[in-house]
Amino acid sequence: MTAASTFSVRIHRRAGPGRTRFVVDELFRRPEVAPELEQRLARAPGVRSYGAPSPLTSRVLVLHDPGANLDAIAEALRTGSSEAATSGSPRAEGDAAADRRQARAPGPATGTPRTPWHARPLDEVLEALGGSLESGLSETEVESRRQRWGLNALPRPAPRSGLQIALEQLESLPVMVLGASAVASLATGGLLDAAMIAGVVAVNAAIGYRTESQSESVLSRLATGVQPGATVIRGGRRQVIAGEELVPGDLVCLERGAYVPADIRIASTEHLAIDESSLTGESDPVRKQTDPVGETVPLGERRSMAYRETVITGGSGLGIVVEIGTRTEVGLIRAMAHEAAPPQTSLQRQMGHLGRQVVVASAALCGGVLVLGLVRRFPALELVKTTISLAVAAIPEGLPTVATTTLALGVRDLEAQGVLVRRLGALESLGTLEAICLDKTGTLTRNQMEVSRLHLDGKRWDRSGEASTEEALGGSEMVRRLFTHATLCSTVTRADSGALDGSPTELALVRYGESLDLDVDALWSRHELELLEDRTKGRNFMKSVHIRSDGRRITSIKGRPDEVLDQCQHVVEAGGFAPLDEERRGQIYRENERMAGAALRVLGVAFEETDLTPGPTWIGLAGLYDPPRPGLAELMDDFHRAGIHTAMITGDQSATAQAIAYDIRLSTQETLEILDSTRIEEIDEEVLGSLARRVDVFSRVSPAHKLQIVTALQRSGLVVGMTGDGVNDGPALRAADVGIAMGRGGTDVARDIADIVLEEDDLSTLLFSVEQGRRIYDDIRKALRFMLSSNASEILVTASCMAAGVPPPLNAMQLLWINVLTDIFPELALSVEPPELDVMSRPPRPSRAPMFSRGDLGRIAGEGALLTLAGLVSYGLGLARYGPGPRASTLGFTSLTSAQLLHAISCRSEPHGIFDQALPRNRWVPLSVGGGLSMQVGASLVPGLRRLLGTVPLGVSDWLVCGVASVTPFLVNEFRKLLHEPPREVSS
Amino acid sequence: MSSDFVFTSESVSRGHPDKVCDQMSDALVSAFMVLDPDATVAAECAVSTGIVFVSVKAASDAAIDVPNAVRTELQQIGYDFGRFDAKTCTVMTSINRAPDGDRRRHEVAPDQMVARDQVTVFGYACDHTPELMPAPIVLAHRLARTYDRVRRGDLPYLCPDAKVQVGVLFENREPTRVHSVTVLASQRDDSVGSRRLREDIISGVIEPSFAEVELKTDDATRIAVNPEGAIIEGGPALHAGLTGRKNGVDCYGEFSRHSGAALSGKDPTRIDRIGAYAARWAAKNVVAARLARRCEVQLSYSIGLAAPVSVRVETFGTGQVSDDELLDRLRHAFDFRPGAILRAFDLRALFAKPDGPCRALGAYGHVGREELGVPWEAKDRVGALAKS
Repeated sequence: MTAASTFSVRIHRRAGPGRTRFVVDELFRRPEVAPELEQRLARAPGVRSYGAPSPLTSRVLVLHDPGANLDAIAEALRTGSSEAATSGSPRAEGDAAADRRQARAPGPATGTPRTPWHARPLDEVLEALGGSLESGLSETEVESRRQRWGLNALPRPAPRSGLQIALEQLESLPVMVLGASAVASLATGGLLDAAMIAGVVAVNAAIGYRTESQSESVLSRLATGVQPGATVIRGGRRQVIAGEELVPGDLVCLERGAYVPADIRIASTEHLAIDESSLTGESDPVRKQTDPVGETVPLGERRSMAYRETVITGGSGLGIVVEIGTRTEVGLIRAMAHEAAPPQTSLQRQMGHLGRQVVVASAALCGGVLVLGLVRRFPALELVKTTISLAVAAIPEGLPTVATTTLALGVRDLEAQGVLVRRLGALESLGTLEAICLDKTGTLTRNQMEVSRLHLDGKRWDRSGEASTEEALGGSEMVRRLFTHATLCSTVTRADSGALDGSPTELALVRYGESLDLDVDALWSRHELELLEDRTKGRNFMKSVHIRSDGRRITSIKGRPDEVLDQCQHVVEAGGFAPLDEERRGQIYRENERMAGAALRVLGVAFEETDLTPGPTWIGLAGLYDPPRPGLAELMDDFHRAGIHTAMITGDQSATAQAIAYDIRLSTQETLEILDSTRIEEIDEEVLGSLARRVDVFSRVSPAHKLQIVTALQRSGLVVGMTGDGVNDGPALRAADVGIAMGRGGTDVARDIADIVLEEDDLSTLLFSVEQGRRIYDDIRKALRFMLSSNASEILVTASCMAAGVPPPLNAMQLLWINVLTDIFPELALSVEPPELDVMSRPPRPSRAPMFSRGDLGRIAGEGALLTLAGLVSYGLGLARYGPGPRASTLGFTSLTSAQLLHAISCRSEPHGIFDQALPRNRWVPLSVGGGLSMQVGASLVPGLRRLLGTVPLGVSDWLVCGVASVTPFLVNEFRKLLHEPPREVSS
Repeated sequence: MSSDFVFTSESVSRGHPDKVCDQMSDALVSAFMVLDPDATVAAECAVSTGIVFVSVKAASDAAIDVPNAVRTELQQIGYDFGRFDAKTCTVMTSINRAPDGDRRRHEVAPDQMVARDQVTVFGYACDHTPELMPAPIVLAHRLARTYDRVRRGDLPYLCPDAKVQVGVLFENREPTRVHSVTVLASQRDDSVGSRRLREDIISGVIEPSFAEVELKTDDATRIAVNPEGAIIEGGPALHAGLTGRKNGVDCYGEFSRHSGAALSGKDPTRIDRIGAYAARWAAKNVVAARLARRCEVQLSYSIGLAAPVSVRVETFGTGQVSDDELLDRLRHAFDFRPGAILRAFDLRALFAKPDGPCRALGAYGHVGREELGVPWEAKDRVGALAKS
């Protein structure tokens, strides 16, 4: 520690609520001051996180609690006093410090030229950094380097402020086009039009702001990560430290399955292979070497280096830390990219792309309409206004919001069900999930033993059998005797809390005894323990000698059946004792084998009692196992119904796995396919790829080989989910399309790497997640389908009238009105449709297929044409009856808008119509459609609106025409569902 | 055909991939039968480049650890080193649990049990050797056995996989001398040269094999040891194997006809397995009763029928009585219905013995195995055949 010096500190500027820049004069051009400042900040009261202190500007940005005392922070910066911290912060100091350490962004001052470590020979690197390949750095050296270089940490992106989110709403292409239109309208004298457009933008921005700030708060919670540790050699000692404690020159052990904690020059390698996809996008692991590479080779080919945040997938090695924190490659990339928002998911990107395409297409169409109008010599000013409004109406301004809303709502719904989403893209992958690899221990079982089968007096008692055997089992005196002696001959104790304490197997036996109303405490107290012979290397049974309260000596024996059997000459039978002849021994031995074959852990129990038994006497066998969690069989059925392949991965012998697999109905086929291998990596990749698809159980698999299984399944073209809870599961969780960590039993690293976390370890929430994933995609599709068909109809109505030389029915204001009524609210309503009831009895959609096939686009075009027809026919009728003018135009306007609104109902589901009651309720659809319809009726009734829109009141026959024209496309679409896609049976 | 000719038969060691599969299949049948003598089991194996494929269809109330049983068998065969290692190889298992009804179906009275498969099986016996087997295959099996023994003893550099062939010269249809012996041995590495290998095989394998038999090798016998060079490691790492592909080795070394159906991996209700045993039993008793010097019995079964649809006997002109007469005697002395065979041999009990013959049959042939005490080698119907 440097001596506490006093700095000159003042507040530079409040950058927003909870964001303040401080100026520290001493920082100017003195990067070495930065670490000290950071330490002071870490102790300062109310500070949440901070940016890197800049020696160039002598400023530091501090993020703090909104109500924090700025003077106290300044004081802490000035003197380093931490008194204010302890008194000012009610939080536990340890927690607070840990929190902030996550967030700080230290590191040496940027700007110094980077050393091409990858091109330097190893001895040069060692010379430059002063490390040693044997003993590493000394502790004092480490300390001084930490003073100099700070911690090996990356800045955490600060959450976007409300203002930022609001401003970003205005940045999208559709909104900019709208803005331009408003300006154009203003220029052409359409003040009202401009106001209306501005209104559209405002409504949109408001909705966008609301949904995005909601999702921002949801998403920022996702990022609370865990810093993986690092194994270093310091002072000749190998030790595990927090990754951020690394300093340049540290000697680091690189081990399979771990993250690379900093940028490291490889010093020795034993088949070291690293997955650098997070850095380079290249998914094949890169073999590492110690020899330097050329100075100019790209990042992905620098085989002499290991880079921070990449994952070691094979082999091991040693390396020297050369860069830490913000100076690492990934640190530089982060700094360059200013990663404020989480990366967009492919769906969001797709939507953005589609949005731009629609904008371009609409612009082209509107241009066409303009040209057509000019050719037909429509009045120029009116024409320009109409064209602008048409463009506004056609632009899918609701589109970006739809994707964000559905995704964020999905995250929220999942959270309510105990599923933490840590990566937004995982939600989409969930929707296409085709195979799940389930970890047996921890996921499918609880890792707790239970008594499952007994064998007494030549009879077998199966717990999974009928109730009658269970009763007989409980009632039998012989069974009580077995558990009496199993309880006596155990090391289980009653803890002060009242809970039983002991090994899983013994606990299971004692607990089962308790369930038979055996008073185990009384049993223990009545039988004074005289001698306990525990198991030894050559003796696999336990023997305890007790003196009962009546003075009798009782011996209990429990252990490996064949060895216990060898001790016995007699056997308990109904009504007494019988000699153990060869036949009885053979039967017991065979039963032992059978139980072992059924994956049970089998124990034999025997006893001896003076004046009662003729010697050590055999009682029976007890078989125990680690049962699957309840409800899994039904859950597997559900997954299979949803077309998802389930595979179990376990390190156990296959008999255990096989028994569990049958219990939980893991396989849909008659056959159960088991791949039993300790060396999966030695199987030819292609062979494994083709085998893996069929395999139900992977047994005797070490955690490190889960990665091979996941990639093999992916190679066979499947979207793969993988559950895990251990540190070793990391690479597999990362490689899987959806990495699923168990919340309770899982390790921090597994939770950190996983895409979703099942907080209650409850697999049924995974099923729910898949349903949400599918819903999200479906809903976006529904909203898009509606948007595409309804927007097309507006353009088509206008364009066809222009083409026919008839004045188009919709004036500029009407077009804008349609836009508000039908573009925003119904779309949002559709984007929150609950999942269709049969969504989980359909196979997963192909992950690589485009959202709309050619057939789909054709159908959408057809729907658009129907809507167009609705508008044109009633307009045509109006023209025929009333001639060109507001009345005919009002007819067309009303019909088109109503038809579009009703179309939203059709878009709720592709296969299911209003005629089969297969859709769950979504109150937003009737609300937006009903609201829209009444607004539309109001448009020709309310005088103020009439003036604004240029509509006129309609007669009864006109309303009839409008009704028929708008309902007809709706009915046609609904009937078409009946004809083309008979609704599949919905299983409840 | 001239009555002077050379006939060759081959045998393979326990470590030959095809035989490995046969033995694993029988080990699985045995594992089930030991726990549940009423089980019906069909087990087939294939092995290729380090992966063992097992398909088990079983109706049984017992469950077994298939990969574990397979690994134990591989370990016993001797694959505990190198590229194909019992401990680390991959075992891909397909388990099909047949409904329990299949198992109960065989609890009907044995006489009502019908054939559940269609098959024509052959049994053969001749007076070449004391066990009434053709001489070439008996000699080949002796070589294979000796190979397996010395591999574990004096010549530890040998690997489990080997193939042998014995050519016997027949003069006037009687075996007179050993014409040729070929041994294809595999070895751990190339530290042992071809010359030493040849010497070791001749003194360690070939000479002991012929020590206790009438037919001997002589100076004119052509002896070949790995004529195409050293085979390193061999076994499943080198070539693939499949259950039931060594039927000739399992039966009579192609000296007589044999059925195409595999014998290994089947429980004792399978007529294609026990029918072959019964046919051998009948033929052997005919020769033992001195009713013929060579005898082939053919049994044909159809699905759903208990009695064989065809029983034929052929003595190749060596019969003391006419073949028709012999057939009559056979029909009286033997009951070839599946249930009757099962009962006559007490096969369920035999297969249920943990160290019974079921596991041993997978190597060195299913017939002529007098040392195993299997009932189809018993000459217990000689009297019945002679007197009628």
